[in-house]
Amino acid sequence: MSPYKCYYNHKVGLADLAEKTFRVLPLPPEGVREHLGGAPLNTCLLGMHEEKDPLVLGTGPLTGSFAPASCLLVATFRPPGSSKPAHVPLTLRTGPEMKFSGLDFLVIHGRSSSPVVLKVKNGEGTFAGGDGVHGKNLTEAQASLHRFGEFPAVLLAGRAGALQVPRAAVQVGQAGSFDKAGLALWMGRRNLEGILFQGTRGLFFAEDHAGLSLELGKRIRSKEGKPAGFRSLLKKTGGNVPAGDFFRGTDEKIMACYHCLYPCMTRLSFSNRRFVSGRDNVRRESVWLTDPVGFAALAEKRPADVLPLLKACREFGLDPEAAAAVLDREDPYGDTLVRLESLLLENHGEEQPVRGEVASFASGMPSPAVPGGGEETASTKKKMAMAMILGVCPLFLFLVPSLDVPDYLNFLPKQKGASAFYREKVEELSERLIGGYPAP
Amino acid sequence: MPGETPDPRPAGLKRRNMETKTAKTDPQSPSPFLNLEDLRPRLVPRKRFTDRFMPRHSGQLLFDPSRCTGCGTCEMVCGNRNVSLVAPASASVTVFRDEGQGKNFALYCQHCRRPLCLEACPTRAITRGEDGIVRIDRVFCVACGLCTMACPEAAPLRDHRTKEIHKCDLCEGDPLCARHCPEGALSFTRGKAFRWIKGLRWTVQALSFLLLVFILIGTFCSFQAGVVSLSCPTGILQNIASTKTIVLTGIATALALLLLTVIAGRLFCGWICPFGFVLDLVGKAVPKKISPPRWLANRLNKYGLLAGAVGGSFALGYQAFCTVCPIGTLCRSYGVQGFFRGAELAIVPALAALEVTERRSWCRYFCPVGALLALVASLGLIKIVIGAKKCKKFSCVQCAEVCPVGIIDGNLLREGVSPKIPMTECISCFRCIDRCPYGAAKIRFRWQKGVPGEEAP
Repeated sequence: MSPYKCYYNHKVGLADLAEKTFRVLPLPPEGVREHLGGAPLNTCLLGMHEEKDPLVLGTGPLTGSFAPASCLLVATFRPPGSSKPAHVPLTLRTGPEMKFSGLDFLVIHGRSSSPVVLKVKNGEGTFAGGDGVHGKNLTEAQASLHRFGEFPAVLLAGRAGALQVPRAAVQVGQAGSFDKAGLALWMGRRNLEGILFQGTRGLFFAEDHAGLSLELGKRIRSKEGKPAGFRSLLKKTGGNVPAGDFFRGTDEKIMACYHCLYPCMTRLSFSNRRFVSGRDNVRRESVWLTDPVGFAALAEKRPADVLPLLKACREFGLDPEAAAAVLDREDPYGDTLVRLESLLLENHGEEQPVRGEVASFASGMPSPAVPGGGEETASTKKKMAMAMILGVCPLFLFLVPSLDVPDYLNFLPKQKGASAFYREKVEELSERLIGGYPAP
Repeated sequence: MPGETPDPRPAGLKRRNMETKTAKTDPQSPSPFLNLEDLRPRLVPRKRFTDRFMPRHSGQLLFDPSRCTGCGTCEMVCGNRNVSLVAPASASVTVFRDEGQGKNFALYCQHCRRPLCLEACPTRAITRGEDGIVRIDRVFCVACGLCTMACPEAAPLRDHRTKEIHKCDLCEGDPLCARHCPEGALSFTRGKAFRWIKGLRWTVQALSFLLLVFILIGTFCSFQAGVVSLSCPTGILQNIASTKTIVLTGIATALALLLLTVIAGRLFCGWICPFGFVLDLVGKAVPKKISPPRWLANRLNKYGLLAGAVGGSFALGYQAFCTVCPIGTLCRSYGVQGFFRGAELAIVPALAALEVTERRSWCRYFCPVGALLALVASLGLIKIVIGAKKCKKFSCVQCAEVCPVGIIDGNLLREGVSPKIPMTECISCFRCIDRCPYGAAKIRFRWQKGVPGEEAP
């Protein structure tokens, strides 16, 4: 019996967008033993279906478990023009919802002739027409998705993705994402407008892990103090970005991903009075702050109107970091908004490289990308790699330095000699992942 | 009867016979059938007599939306307890996440005082224990789902996997969701450890009783301690009407009480009145079993009695109501003065016996002293407001239940409408404020607008 019997459903979904078919295959136990899960196993599955240029969505062994911040879903694909596969971490509730829907990994390939939405529920995937979502702003697209029912986790290619804009970023609900590698573009090129997950099932994890999680939570609070949401993240990664300046006059609400004991997201509600003309248009708007790199890039360029511009990026489905690169510091707000919208007209065609060589962890997390941010150390990189293997949030490990690899290994199966095996395995896979995991 | 079709059923099986037999069955005789009630495990001890005076608080799960981050830890641990799997979909608590508004709301069973799910359950699988916890008995539940439809909070949830109905049972007194909630948004309480308003009120009431009944000495309508004289405003009104003269010292102290009423409402009735204290004590011990007739249960009666008392005093030439006033008789006949013993002794128990109908029946419908204070309270500076949006409508309505004069409309709260509290009838006991676990009941100035949870930003 596999030691991971309890950690996975042992099922892989295979979705063909061209044929609109969905098959469920068993997850080979030797693959799990060799690659554990997350990014390494995704790369393995990517290699197995190399000729179809697929997108692989995968969970780790700890995704959905009692381990803190076990929310991760890793999207692995080969961005155009890049020799290495990119791994995009998707947070919020995407990982657990996919796992509780009955699938551990999802391989999507082919190209649909018309816009389509993939719904994953009860261990199977179904396709639905995506015309109501295609080319729509985020709010409209989300409203349109309501007709499909209640899906707690939503991945959207967004308006920019559907229009195949190179600067597109996938949207996880209204929270944005860490997509810096063109996942939205991959989806848009294949007419995949969105992927919806609903987990109606469950998985067995040892019950004593609940107590372990409770103890870890207390330890984290005693060492790290009360979480300050996105402020704490900016403090660690934002370098010169003074968080307080942007939070003045706003209502803050700290939001968390699945079972996160130290939340780093903040939803800001602000008045748009300074940015609109006409009294009738004045209202309170809100924006989720998730990606520190994108926020820092926008804030550095446009400190006065970073919040409405970030909201506009989300609505259009643009990556704020990439959008900030083309904005001018001196332009008035109205012109900047027009400039942002004009980005939606960019289209580099099917085969052209869009962003050149992307980083392996194509996310908003590595600190060197933040203006004035600190250097990315080897240990930080290793922690992130470990998170991508086990299926826990890399940002959580980045934010909570008091938590380390052995704390997470306690949540893995407890056979005799397992602890040493997993430590070595995770070490080995982390090294390989940092060096660019070769697809077998 | 000729021409009537004979019933083919044996006589013993005819409906009428069966009904008659059922009706005549001796409840004490052992039933030949298995009584399903006997199968139910008795999870909690029986209620003790002392619980009438010192009620044990049933536990309550409280939710603070401002703290909830939507992490779903509560769903995870609850699902694990229900089905031994990490399965948020099988949890008895559900967190609704509004991404657009950034609001999270946890939905769970409120353990209603009068659970609609219990009434809807056709197999009587739902019971409300004496500890206040509403439970589903797995043995009896047929998963018909009627409870999910009956519950206004939609708290019983159907498990998509097993098709069973799950409902919060407060983990039998130690809810895992509250224990694991990292932000403390869900918390479990067995009520406030010490309701300070309640403690203060009982102390003040007891001291006032001692002071007015045993220490101060006076006449029909006023008491005197040295040079300080305390006068009942209704007594002074009758005094003026009967003697046709004005006693300035009596008016001055009566005005003091009226001024207190303008500032703090009918505080005298809730905190100072010695007869009110007696009624509160009697009301705790006496079960409410009789409904008063409609004509008697009219709040306007007391204004009629007040007018009658003043008019009667004017006509008769003596203080007509003071001779039978329960406050006065309590002070005169049971205190150190002890004059008018005999027939007057019966007045207090006779009026206190009204407590078998409703709490503070005398104060609600008859008391002329309260009527005069009510007229003055209409000019009062304060009001009590209850915000339905802040409280757990549908299920809690504890404020309505504890209100001794029955002026809080629980049905309005159930509909999510904030009830208007008539300060003329309110005796300012502040029980509602003390009891509300959600901070939805507050004191406001008369001119302040909005209620808790509905204030303008």
